[in-house]
Amino acid sequence: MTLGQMKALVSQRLNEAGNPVFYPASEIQNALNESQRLWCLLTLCLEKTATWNTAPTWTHLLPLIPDYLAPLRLTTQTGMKVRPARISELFALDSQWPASVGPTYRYVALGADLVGIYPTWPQPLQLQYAGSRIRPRFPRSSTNNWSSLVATVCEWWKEGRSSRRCCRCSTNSSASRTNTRSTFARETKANFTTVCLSN
Amino acid sequence: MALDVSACILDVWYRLGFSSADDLANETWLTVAELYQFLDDAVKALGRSTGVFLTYDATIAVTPGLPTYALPARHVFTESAWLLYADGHVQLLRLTGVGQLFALDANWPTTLGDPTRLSLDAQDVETCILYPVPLQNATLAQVCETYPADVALGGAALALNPVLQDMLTYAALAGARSKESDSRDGDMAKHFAARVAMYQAIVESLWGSGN
Repeated sequence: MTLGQMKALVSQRLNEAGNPVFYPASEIQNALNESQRLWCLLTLCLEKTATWNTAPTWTHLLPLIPDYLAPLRLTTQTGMKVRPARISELFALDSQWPASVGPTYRYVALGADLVGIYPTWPQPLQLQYAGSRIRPRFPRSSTNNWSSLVATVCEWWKEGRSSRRCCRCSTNSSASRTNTRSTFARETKANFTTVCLSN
Repeated sequence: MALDVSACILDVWYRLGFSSADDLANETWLTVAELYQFLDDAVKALGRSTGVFLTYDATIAVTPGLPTYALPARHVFTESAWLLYADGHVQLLRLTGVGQLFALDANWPTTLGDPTRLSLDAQDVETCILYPVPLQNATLAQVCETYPADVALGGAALALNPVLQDMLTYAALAGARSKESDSRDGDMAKHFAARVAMYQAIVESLWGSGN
């Protein structure tokens, strides 16, 4: 399914197929992008691999890998697994660990992007991580249940639009759509469950 | 850096019913500067309630006879700390409250020796104190939670994955809809605030809670 097909499906369900006016195509695409970003964050499903040239003990990964979310696996070039640890565990393992030099076999991940390695060793590591898409595009073909995502976006987006009020006269731009609010959360959750389980 | 805050504003104006970004810029009930203020509030709340903005700091030089040191800028809490000596030796510092220091040593403020403990509440705020009082030069290294610099109009980027731009967008929408004006919408403000809370819960489960 292409991005254009998804936008067309959303427009169709919003009863604006062919010539979207109240719900412009650009805003539908923004909603699709937002839903995919949230999906990546919730499921960590977008796995990527990068080569990380380690040097100091502590590194912020976001400047190196802008879409880094969380580490999944870390291995050396020879395939040896670098295992995760906490700082307290590293001190228990070796009281001199921050100053240790040698082939890396432990790492600690903290916060959004801070990663420490033990021991420090100037070697490239293979990092498999959960990533996100900054301005995503959907796959051109897929067997996934994208129609559920489209339905989610429709409800999600109608909800957002139902809150649109004229900033000057404070009237609802579409009062008939306000009844989607009460069922929005339940429907969104159900649809996301469907998408996640089907993948 | 990763998250461009200005991208949030581009996602906000049409959801508030403005016809363009220029339309928002010319509005009186809500200004772009106020939207950035809402974003700033959300980012600081995120830094306080979750363990997102962690960093490694080794900028504090420890000198003999001086136990008290200013903490790094925008410091929230120290997760772990240790001393790096010039000869390569490392000494872990145990985080210790002032009550425990008094229980340990009635004369702790004047006891001399190689530091083994760090206290964040024994002196003024934004300072830390070493126990015992150090005898030799070293570097105080720590992994600490911080909060980012102020988010303001023209500000650059945040050290966050761009996936969280939607959380900040909802924070701006919640702020706009809860602001007292003819366009106030309490129901939607609560709804947007709940979206922000959902993102915070995800962040907390992924990267940990604040201290």
